Parts: sequence; C-alpha cells; structure tokens
Amino acid sequence: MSAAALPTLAEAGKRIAAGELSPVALTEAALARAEALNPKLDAFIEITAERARAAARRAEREIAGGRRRGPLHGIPYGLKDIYDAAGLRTTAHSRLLLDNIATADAETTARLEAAGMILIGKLATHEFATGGPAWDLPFPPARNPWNTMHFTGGSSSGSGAAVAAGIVSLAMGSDTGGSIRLPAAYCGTVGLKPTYGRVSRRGVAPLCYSLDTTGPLTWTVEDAALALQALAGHDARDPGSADVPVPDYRAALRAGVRGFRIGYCSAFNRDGEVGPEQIAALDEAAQLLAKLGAELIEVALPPNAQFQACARTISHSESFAIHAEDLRKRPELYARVTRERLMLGGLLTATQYVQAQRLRRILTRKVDALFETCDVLLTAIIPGPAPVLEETDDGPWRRQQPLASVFNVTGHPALAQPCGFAANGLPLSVQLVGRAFDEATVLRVGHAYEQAAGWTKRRPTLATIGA
Amino acid sequence: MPDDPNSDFAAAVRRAGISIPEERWEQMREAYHSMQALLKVLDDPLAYEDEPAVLPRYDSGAKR
Repeated sequence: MSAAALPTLAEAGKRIAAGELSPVALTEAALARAEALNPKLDAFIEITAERARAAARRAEREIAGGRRRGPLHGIPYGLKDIYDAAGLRTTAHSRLLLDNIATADAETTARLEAAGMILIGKLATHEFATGGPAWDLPFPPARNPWNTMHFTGGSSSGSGAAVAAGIVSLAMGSDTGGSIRLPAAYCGTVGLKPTYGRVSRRGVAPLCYSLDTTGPLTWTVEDAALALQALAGHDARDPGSADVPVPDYRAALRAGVRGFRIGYCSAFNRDGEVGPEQIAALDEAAQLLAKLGAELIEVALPPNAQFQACARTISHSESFAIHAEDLRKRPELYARVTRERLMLGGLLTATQYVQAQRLRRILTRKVDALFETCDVLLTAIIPGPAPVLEETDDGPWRRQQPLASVFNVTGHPALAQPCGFAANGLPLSVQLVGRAFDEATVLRVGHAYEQAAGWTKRRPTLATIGA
Repeated sequence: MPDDPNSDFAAAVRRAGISIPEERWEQMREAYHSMQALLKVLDDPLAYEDEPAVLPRYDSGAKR
C-alpha cells in the first residue's frame, strides 16, 4: 500500500482528464488503502471491491472512448450506511436492518453514479444516525485517523475517518444535529451541511423529517463544491426538497473575500463551553480572513438554550415517530444508547413539539436578519479536540449542549473546516454559515481561508493510524 | 401532571407505550427531568412582534 492519501477530487479529475491517471489504478489504490487501514479504523462496514472494479473498468472504457462525463468520472467514493445503493445492504449500523437489501439507489447515490463515480463501500455510522459510539452493535465504531484512541465524531463517523485517512476523497454523510460537521471537525476534514432542501434525502434512512440534510465530507473546500455540484437539485419525490436554481459552485470559488462582511459570533462561542485552544484558533481564523480583506463584525446569535430546546424537541419527537413501533416491540435489537435516546422522544408532548416549531420560525427569522449586516457567520462547531472514544457520553441525555444543531434548526448552509491543531495533535475546526441556498458564498470564503491557512497540507500518517 | 416527579415520569413512559428495565429506570428518569429542564424555555412568553398569533399572558408580563 502506498503511504500517500488518494488525490483530491479536483486533482484526480484533472489527471484523469489529461490521461495521466487511470480510474482502474485509482480504484485499486483506494481498495488497497481501505483493506490495509480498515482493521485499524473500522471506517467501512462493507468494502464492495468487485462492484468497484467493474465500475472502474467501465469508467476507463468510457473515458478512453471520449465519453468522459465530467470532473468526478472514474473517482472512488464511499456512502454512509444509511444511503441506499441498489443491490447492497443498507444496515444503518443496526441489527434491525442486517438483511435490508436496497432495491434502488438513493437519489444522491444515483447522481454520483451518473457523474461516473465509483462506490468502494458502505461506511460506519452511529446506529440510525443517532445514539453514539456503541460496542453492543453488529459492527464496531469507527476510530479517528489522527489518533485511533479518539472519537471520530458522529454520526457520519466512518465518512470522517475514511476521508481523513485518504481512502476516499468524497464520503457522503447526513446532518440532523451536526452529523456531517462534527466528524469533519474531529477528523480534520471539510464537511458541508447544505441548506435544508438543497440535496435530496430520498433513499436515505430518515432520523428526523424536518431537520435531516444530506451532504459531502471531503478533504478540501473545492472538493465540497465539486460534490455539491453533482448532488444539488430539486427532487420532486422528496417532500422536503426545494425547487431552487443551482448555481455554478466553482465559478467564484477563487474570487477571494475582499469586501465581504464576516459576522463573528464570539459571545456564542464563549457561551458554548468552547475551550481555550479552540477559541484561540477561531480568533486566528477570523483575523486571517480580515487580513485577506474581509471586514469583521461582531454579531449576536439568540441564546443557544433556545436552539437546543427546539432541536432536541423536534429531533427526539420525530425520531420517536419513526422508531416507535420497533422500540415497543423489539427494543432489545437496538444498542442501549440508541434505544434510550430514541425513547426520550416518546416522553415529549404535542404541546412541546408545537411550541418548538413556533420558536424555530422565530429563531430562523432572527438568524436571517443577521445576514442583512454580514455575508457569512463564523462560529465554533466543536468545543475542542476529539475526546477519547471510550469516554464519550453514553447516557440517555447528552450533558453538553451541542453547538452544531443551531443551523439545523434554521436550515442555513454550514461548512466545517480545519482551523488548526490542539497541543495533542488533534484537529480544531471553524464553522462558516451562509444565507439560505447561498452555499456558493460559504464555499468561496472557506476556500480563501483554506488556501491562506494551509491546514490541509497536514494529514494523518500511517503512524497515527497505527498501520 | 402529578406532583411526584417519579409518577410524572412513569405516566410519560406508560403513555409512550415503552418499557424501561428496572436497572435503567433511574438513569432514564434523570434524563427525562434534564430534558424537561432544558425545554422550559419553550414556555417563555413570546413577544407580540415575534408572534402576533399569541394570547397575552396577563400573569407573565407579555405585552402587545
């Protein structure tokens, strides 16, 4: 196995187009890296080697025949195991779905396949994209490639691990309360939660109808833009899908941030139990954007307690609605942490759910109003570096108030990307948030910061993975 | 709701139709009360400019 991570989507696409890189060779490299590293990382539930090899040969033939489909053709990717891919199991990391073979692709899977991408496997998740790392499940929890004793974040845990380890340059995640951005943050990758409704959820196991979003984890912001270009668009068969035009996400990616107003939410960060290393890294990120020509403005988000009350009421209630039958009839099939957290949703009242939805509308309007004075918000996404895996909170009620679910409540697009490293060598992360359906501006600011900061040059090594 | 916090929890469990093993009862009861404490903010009166469709609460100071 090569010590090198797979090239980024942008780099691989260029080299394939130039005839310098073969989809077959690239896929073999990804499979070899997956086979070698997965025993240490548990990122993959299933590696689909034969299917991938067949797809790679097909891509190679098409490209050689002058039928290149676009910048993603011939490049490997992975799917969180809540996404359907026809003919493969979708287990949601659960004993309940061990025999669940998908009969059709999720809309997102279909779009990536249509772009010519090559699926190399299904990735670990927290059970049903909720709960937490658990050892009483059919598959072990994924481990952080920067230090395998540490948590990946979740629930798109295998997606964060696989991208950080350089096994794939695109893995799909889902985000109901931070589940794309948290593993991206803890694993030092880029994670994009698109605007609610921007990317289809059809064919993806639901957790919460009115908060679920699907999106990519990648190594670079440009790769997130490339992935979103393939994924975004209206799906008439997803009731939450929005019929909003899709722009060219790379058109202004390199246009810089001069004249942009960055709303720095420092009071919110300090309110959210964010540690000193992470605070310092956020301050430095804000100052770097100012040096690049952006104007920093201090802005105040509504209290996090209001967002948390909304997020938890809505998420728990809707999740219980989805799982009520199984929780009543065969609760023993869930991991304890999943079962207990899902059961809490059954203890809420209709009154609380209605009040949460009313408050949600008010909070969304207040966040919308902040964008009258700034173009992008800059906030914390994690309180500090990844905790030790065995010490993650496995109680029925999470003690810490998460920072991420704020923008699930409001639906705004939010990008997590690296902004430094803690003293223990684990990544720190910054969150950039934009106006609804304005992912292009978020990506533009994120790309400018990424290029100036240079954090993406540092990657986990075979030594940190223990391989 | 009953005044006894344990019977409040027990009633919610019965209404949900779920079973909680005895050895996890206390942890779940604590979780339930932590959740209810966080959700108290949902009862805060809404200002008229935020929510015109709100009944004034004469006992809590909400004003039009």
